[in-house]
Amino acid sequence: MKSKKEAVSIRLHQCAKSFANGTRALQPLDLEIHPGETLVLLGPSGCGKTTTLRMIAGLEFPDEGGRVLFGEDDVTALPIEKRGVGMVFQNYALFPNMSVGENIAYGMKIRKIPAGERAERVEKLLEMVHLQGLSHRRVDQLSGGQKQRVALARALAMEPRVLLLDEPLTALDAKLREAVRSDLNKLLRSLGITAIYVTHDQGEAMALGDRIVVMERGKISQIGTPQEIYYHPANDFVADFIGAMNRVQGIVSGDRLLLPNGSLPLPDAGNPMNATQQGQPAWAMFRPEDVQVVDITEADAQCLRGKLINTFFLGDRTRFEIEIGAERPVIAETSRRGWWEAGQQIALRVPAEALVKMAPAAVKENA
Amino acid sequence: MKNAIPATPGAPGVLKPERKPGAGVRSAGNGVWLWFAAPGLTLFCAFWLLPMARLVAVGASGPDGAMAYLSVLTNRHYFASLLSTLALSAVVTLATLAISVMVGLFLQRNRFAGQSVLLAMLTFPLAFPGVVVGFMVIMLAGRQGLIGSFTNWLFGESLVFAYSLAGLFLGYLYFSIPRVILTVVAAAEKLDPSLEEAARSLGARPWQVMLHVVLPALLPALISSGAICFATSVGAFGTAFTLAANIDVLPMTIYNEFTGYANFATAASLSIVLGLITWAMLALARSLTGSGVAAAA
Amino acid sequence: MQKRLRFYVQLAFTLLVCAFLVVPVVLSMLAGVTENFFVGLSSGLTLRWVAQVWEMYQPTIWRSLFIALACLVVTLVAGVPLAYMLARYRGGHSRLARVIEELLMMPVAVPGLATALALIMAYGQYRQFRASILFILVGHVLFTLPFMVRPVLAVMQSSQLAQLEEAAASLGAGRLRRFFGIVSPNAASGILAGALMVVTLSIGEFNITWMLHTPLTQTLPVGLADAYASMRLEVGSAYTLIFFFMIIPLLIGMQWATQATRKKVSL
Repeated sequence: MKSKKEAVSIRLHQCAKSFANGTRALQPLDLEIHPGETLVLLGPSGCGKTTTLRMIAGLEFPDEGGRVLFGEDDVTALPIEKRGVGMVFQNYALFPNMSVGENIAYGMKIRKIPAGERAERVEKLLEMVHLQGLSHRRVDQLSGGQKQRVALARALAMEPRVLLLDEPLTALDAKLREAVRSDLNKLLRSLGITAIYVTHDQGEAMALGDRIVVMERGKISQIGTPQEIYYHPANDFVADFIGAMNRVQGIVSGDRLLLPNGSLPLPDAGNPMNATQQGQPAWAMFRPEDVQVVDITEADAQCLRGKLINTFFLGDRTRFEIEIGAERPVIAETSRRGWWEAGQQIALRVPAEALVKMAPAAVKENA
Repeated sequence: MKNAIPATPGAPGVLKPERKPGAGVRSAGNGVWLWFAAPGLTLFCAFWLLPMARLVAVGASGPDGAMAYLSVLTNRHYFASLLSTLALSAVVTLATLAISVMVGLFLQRNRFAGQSVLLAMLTFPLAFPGVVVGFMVIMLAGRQGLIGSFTNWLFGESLVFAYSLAGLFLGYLYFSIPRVILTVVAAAEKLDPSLEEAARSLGARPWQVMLHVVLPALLPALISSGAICFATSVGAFGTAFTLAANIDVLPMTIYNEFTGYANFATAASLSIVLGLITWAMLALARSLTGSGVAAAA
Repeated sequence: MQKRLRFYVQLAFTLLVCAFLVVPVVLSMLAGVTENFFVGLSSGLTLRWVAQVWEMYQPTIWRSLFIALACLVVTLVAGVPLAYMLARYRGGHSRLARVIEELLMMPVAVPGLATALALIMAYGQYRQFRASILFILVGHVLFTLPFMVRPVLAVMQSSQLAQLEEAAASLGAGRLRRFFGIVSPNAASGILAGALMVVTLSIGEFNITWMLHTPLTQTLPVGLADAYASMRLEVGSAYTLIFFFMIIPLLIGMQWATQATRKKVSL
């Protein structure tokens, strides 16, 4: 099919962005994206992920001193027309006055590639995104999923060095999103192209990304693989943003953390997480799916005791809210069948390995 | 035609059909509503509908009978008048569209101090009657006009063209630009910037983006405001009257027939024809946007 | 570099177009207060031309104002209930409503000349009517009625107002009571926008009025045409100056009112 070009690395060096009205969208940023990897920029709205993407694209330019490099080429001064990137927009940005085939062929038409060759490539691209034969369809006759694939085909038509995707699945509904996500994943892997993907959906980020960049208020909070981000969040923002996180405060005593209604086992002394001092207050964080809910009759000394205040049946899992006398109730999630009524006394078990993070209590938490 | 997009599984279902606003208060006796409409409709029928019907009859009451309606095509004088009206209106429309696109896009895309002031200045002449527009042209290009004084100072000879075709053209341009520019700015505001960014990402240069993306997107607005502009120009009377040009546009011809020669039948038939032309143009504009009004000039 | 150049070229062009539209206005305002326009500003500023215009055309100016206000009253009485009918008859989606809307626009779509001729042909023989202000008023009402109906209709069609009406109906309010007590007050922003439009258009209306007027029933624009044709430039300018002063506050008011209506209608 297409000749596989060498995938290119992308480097951002001290790229900051302030807008005309004074707002600082990005603090000076350093980022290195490996050739062929799919990197996801993840964060809440306003965190700067879209600004970063647009800087890589060439739609925005970094403030004085920032540099953008594609491989060895310094592209900082090049506008998007000259950077050779492929971009998929959030609402697809298909040209309504052109057919599907004309949309896909637009980049080729600009470069004066002859009509015969254009038509051939358009067909190949349509095949690649499973839209064979739709070349003459008008754009407004397509469904959301089809439009998204046309946008993708159009971006890939000129074999760009870099593929940029700005929340491409946000406009689709949930079921469709999952199906398209899987197709997209396969496609990106098979092409081996360097791709940067912006989203605010963590599930999407973890499914698609080789590495994830979690951003907050114009800064990078953490870069890592999905597992690293999930199991070893670098700070409280990441811990809270990715999945739900339980947080309880107690006193370190021996190899346990003492809480009002029981205690939690701490990891072994050799574990770096056990860096708190004896007798000192400390926070412990663990994920809801690691909490084992146990009937009060089967509780032992290792368990925390509490009262079940709410139960939510979510179909594939059940969520429990349990009051243990801490600041906030503990959230537990299990996919096993088992049901307790709200108001009952209940017991919890959290294995020591489930502890995601520990911190001395003197440290101020993020709101 | 649009295909119905099949409902995707998992899409939020529509539980009940959308209610039309006001549907709930439709009680028995729709006829009562007609009483609300009575004053307005009575006025309208008595003073426009019936007189217009009468005018159509008068138009056919002359020596030529109903053939008078074709006289705009057959009579040399009237035909020349019609042609010059249509030609002038067409040129004015094209010029206005070109100017409005350039200025409208510029204003919509560049934020700078005083931008809203500029836009206000550009639309303020909307309220001028044609006579005032004619006077403005005289101020610019008449015997004591600005351009005349300027060329006098520069070359020693005054350039006076207010009373010629050029002056008429300027006058028509003067009342057309404010009308069209508002529509263009409104349409430019609705343009999706990601379409242009997508074109740029595929390598298109500014003129290609303009030709392939921007102008096609603006086309409905341009056609409808162009039609309004054309209709207003065709029907314009006050401006031509003030400038007393020796080119007789059709409204002036009608006026002369009526007041100068008392040719009621001719005046009637010609004005019906004129009315049909302007109405058709505006119907075209409305079919594209749903609004389309020409305030007279 | 290229971008900057393009910006400045476009800016220059825009300023040129603005100048084309605005400079004559400014010039004519100046001419209205200049002693001798041919000589220029050095001849001194004076209000004598304005005074002269006032002396000569005062009745005309008052007459224009009176007609504009009368036009407003008539369009309110005729237009607001009509808008209500268009919004509610058969749920607001009847063929009749569309036809009426189309018809109402005719006096605007068709050149004023034609409307005026039709009126003269049909009613010219009623001497008293023909020679009175009423004749002109009729022409103005025909031309401005759709400009009252449209914004009012737009506000009435908004779902917010419909819900208010449904609530009132559920509490027992009949049609008339709803119209006067709920609909009209809440359509105020549309009515205001329409009112300003009607007054502005009436003051500036020329095409119809020129055909319908008699020497005793002149309006301001008719007077302007007269002044341009037969008076010296300074007098015409002074008269235009008075016209501007009447129009400008109305235009500003309209801008403000349409913004208020837009907020109410867009839900």
